[in-house]
Amino acid sequence: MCCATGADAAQCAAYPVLEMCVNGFFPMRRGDVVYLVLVIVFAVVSLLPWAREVDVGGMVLLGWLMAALMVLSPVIALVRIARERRERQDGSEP
Amino acid sequence: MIERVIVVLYLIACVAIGVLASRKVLTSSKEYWVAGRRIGPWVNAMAIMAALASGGSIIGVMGLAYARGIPATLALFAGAVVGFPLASILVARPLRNFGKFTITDFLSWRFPHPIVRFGVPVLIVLSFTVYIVAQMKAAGITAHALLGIEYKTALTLSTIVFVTYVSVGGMLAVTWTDVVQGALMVAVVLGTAGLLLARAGTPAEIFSAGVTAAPALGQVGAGSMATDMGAFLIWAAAIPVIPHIVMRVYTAKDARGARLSLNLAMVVYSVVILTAVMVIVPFAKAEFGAVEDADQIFLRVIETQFSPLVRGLAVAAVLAAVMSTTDALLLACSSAIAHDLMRPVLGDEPNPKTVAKINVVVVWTVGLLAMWLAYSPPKLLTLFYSAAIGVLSASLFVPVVAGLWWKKANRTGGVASLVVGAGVYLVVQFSEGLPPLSAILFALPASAAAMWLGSRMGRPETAAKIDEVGALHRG
Repeated sequence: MCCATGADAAQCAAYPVLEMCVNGFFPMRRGDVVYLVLVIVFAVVSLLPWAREVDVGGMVLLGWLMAALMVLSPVIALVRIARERRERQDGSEP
Repeated sequence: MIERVIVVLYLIACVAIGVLASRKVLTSSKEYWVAGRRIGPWVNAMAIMAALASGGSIIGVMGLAYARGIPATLALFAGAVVGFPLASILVARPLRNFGKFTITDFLSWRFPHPIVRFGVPVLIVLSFTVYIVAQMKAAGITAHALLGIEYKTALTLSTIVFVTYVSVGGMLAVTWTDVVQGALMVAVVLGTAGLLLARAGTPAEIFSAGVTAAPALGQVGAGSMATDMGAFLIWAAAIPVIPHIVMRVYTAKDARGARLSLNLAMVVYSVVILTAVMVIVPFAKAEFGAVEDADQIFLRVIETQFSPLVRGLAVAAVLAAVMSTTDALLLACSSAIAHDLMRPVLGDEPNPKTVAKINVVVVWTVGLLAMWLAYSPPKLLTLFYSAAIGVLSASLFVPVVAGLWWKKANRTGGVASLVVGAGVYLVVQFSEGLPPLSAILFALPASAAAMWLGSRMGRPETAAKIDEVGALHRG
């Protein structure tokens, strides 16, 4: 996963901590990768058959999980943007 | 009477904004298509939200929840919400740094081929014409239900208004009107929910009463898992590539502003959708039981529960939702033809007045065609236009994302993924026996496979081209 061992070592060397990449792809921020993976995993798990069978408070779990995704996804995204801005102001970001 | 006065005042304001904006935008292509790239994140966020929150989001979301249950509805709209971070992370920075006007500009630069240059705008115009038809139905049934105006008359009047201000005012007019329209629709949806809560109890009590009166509201019923997955995937993959959202990325002052505005828009959009589905729909289900056209359920709530003043505002809000999306769609259609298709004839920096004339013709043509199609409206707006958007998700998502992030993506792969994505989607969509909206589940993997295979078979990109793509990720 670390691009330092791949063909893009020179490019990735500039962002050794904050970015990660797969050989053949342009590097992406580590936080972005984690966020995308979490959102995709959450969505896939929520859409599987088990969530259509469990009823909680009059609605199947699929509905509650989708509602949670609609709330959590933007909130986490905005928190991340605020953190990025703070890091930039602190000068800790390249 | 007061309802009609409010609506007329609102429509006059929209046209006035278009006329005022036209004085500014007819100076260059940059002013016309991307409002001079001066739009700040807060204004852009509200405009993005308004462009996405269409008649489908106000009328259609409640109709879909009423007819097919809340879980299936939230699966579809959660897809759109997830699409925003995908757009923010995957496309906002590099596309804003690319600094052109349309998604076709990027694709035809990354994968230079006539199929891309001419095929993408054609797909956009076809798909968006269907999308516009659904919006027009929302305008027509709203004016008919709450103002007593005959459906076709309402359709014709609203078409004339938004075609007028889009054709003269370009992206600046669309942005200004979208901000006003976004604020209006947020106020009406939240205000309606607030008034219902004041009368009928807490959100939990209203929700409980709704699912008790109609248990199917909280279930998936006969709905297929493939349909829910397809609905989610269509919108998650569409937001990063659909032209009327991508054009908003280009209007941002910089890449950071583009990312922030996408995420802010997502928050407002989520609040509007969740409020509509979790409060207004359960109230309506408990109050009215079955209605013939589920898309009219919000209008029934407004009509029976509120005063003429609120009804007038509600009509204006629904028209705002319809118009804020339709104007953005019309502008995207116009850019697809006047900018993408006609650039070989007009050149890179055409005379703004020539562009304006072509734009007027295109916007009126598409607007009138959609109006004619909307005279025989489809049922369940949201499913109807989601199917149309699916073809754009299927054909554009992989080429755009791979084109931005995968160094080995080349022209052969780009063209193959575009053609295979669109082709598989259309074939499966029109096949019988498959669940609605499930075509994307076949088309998107097929498009990705075509990208991989085509890129392995085709000539690799030059190092210089890969460096140019890499430069889009910096800054």
